[in-house]
Amino acid sequence: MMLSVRNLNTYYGAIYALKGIDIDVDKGEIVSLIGSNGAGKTTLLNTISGVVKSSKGQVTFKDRDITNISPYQLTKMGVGISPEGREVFPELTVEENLRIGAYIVNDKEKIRSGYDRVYELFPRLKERTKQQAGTLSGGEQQMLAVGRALMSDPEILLLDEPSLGLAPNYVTLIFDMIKEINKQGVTILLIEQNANMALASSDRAYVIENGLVSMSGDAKDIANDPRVKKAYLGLG
Amino acid sequence: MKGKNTLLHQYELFVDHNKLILAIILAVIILLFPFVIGSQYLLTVSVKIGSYVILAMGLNILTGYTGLVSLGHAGFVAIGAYTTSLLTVRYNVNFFIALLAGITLAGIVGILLGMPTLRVSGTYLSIITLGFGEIIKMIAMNWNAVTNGTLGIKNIPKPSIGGFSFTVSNYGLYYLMIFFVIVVSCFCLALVRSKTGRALMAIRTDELAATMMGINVTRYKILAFSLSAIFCALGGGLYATLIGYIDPNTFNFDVSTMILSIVILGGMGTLRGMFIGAIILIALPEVSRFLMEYRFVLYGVILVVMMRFRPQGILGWRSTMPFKLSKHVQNELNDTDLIHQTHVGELAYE
Repeated sequence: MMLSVRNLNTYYGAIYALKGIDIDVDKGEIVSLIGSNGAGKTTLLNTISGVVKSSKGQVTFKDRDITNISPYQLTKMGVGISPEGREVFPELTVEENLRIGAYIVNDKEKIRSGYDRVYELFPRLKERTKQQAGTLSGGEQQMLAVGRALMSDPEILLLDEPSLGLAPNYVTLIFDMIKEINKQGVTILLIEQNANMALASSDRAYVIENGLVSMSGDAKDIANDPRVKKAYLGLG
Repeated sequence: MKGKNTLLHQYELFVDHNKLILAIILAVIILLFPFVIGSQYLLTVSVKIGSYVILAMGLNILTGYTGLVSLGHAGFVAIGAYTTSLLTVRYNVNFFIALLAGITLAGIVGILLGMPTLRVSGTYLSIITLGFGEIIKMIAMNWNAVTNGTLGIKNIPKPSIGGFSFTVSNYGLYYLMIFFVIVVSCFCLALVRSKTGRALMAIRTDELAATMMGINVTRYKILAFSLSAIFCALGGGLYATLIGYIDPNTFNFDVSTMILSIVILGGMGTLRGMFIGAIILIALPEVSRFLMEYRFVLYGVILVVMMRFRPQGILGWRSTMPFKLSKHVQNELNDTDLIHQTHVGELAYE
């Protein structure tokens, strides 16, 4: 098991946000977490990445306990994170953003091949290397955020709402890229409100409701579940 | 394209085309300045400007690049000035060794102060640094045995190497100051373009995202704090030897705000801005002496007008020059027809 979460509990002050969540991600999978606003999806990701501390439970990555680790140490272990709302560095250029993504990499050759990999995935970024990231369109910024997370050559990529606020053609593009990145051998944990797209692109999925996993299994099965169809897919 | 014909763009174009000539002219002016001017008073002001350029460069690392506002950097200036002066006056230590001791001490104090305080940010940090500045001033005022209290330290000798004394009258101090300003500028330039510099700017823009990239935010904040303390101590040591007399009031809150004003007026997060900021804010009270006590009103008006019309600072602009692709990208663009390389490219071009 690459990443596993056991009985994770998290409080935001007095608010009980995660009430004992269990999640497993296997090597090479795309796993998505779907759920409505306030269900605890982002909290889960923030707790896994150590931004928010859990009160109970355990997170392990490749059999190493990473519960409540400092976020900056996580990158070194091979976990790439693309936070919610893109969070690129707007005053820095595209190239500088990518360079910061490769912060933990010291090998020049490896940084170079990281650039090539990102530019091959997102040719759009290549022409904008010297442009300030803040002047990119939303879709381009999202490409940059994903590309930046790839620069550290992670084994697993945690993506928080990559389709948030994007034009439909960019949403398709980003999901295609996620599948492409997965084919290159990167395991992906995807958090999405766009349940349609997420379920269509993943192997497995978890539905999160009120801080608990309410349903889990094959993405296709979940997409066909009548309750999910009604609540998340706008069908039925 | 917007901005093509603006004054700024034309200026940048002009500078870009005549880079070498302008640099030579500037270097000649700076090097020959003492011989042409010859006035002791003007030279003293120039050296003072130099020391403030160093102080501003120091604070700029912290405020301009890392985004942490300190209101107590006079404390570090004081540490540098007192250590340097006391060692030279009382123990006849060579100025340069004393200066090294001063900046080392300031660096250590910077780390010690940074470790507990940099976990807070924003206004809280500013208040803590404000307190720090006052504490250092109080120590200087009350620790009579060492600092000579409110009487201060008199007759601080000028720096000397092998019998040659760097004074204002033999222009030595002027050139010494230029040397230090160049060293500090080069260091800052290298820092900004390094991995460390990028990490600092990432922290300024978005701490959380920086952490996610694997940057140890607290460590880099402490580093920035310590580096800025070191440069401020360097500026302080040089300032003390220039003036020849220091007392606790030399390092009051006004000095902290003065350094911060230079950084803001010149343009936070730029190096060129530190020069123009220091020149304006240090020279202004001197050249406007005829206005008597009203000159500080003028000073305030300038700051207010600045904040209204040019909040990014006088030299705080991003280049308007069209961006150039890096060489290896350019070559590849020529080699391959990127647009039709993948379906992603096509979609993005629609």
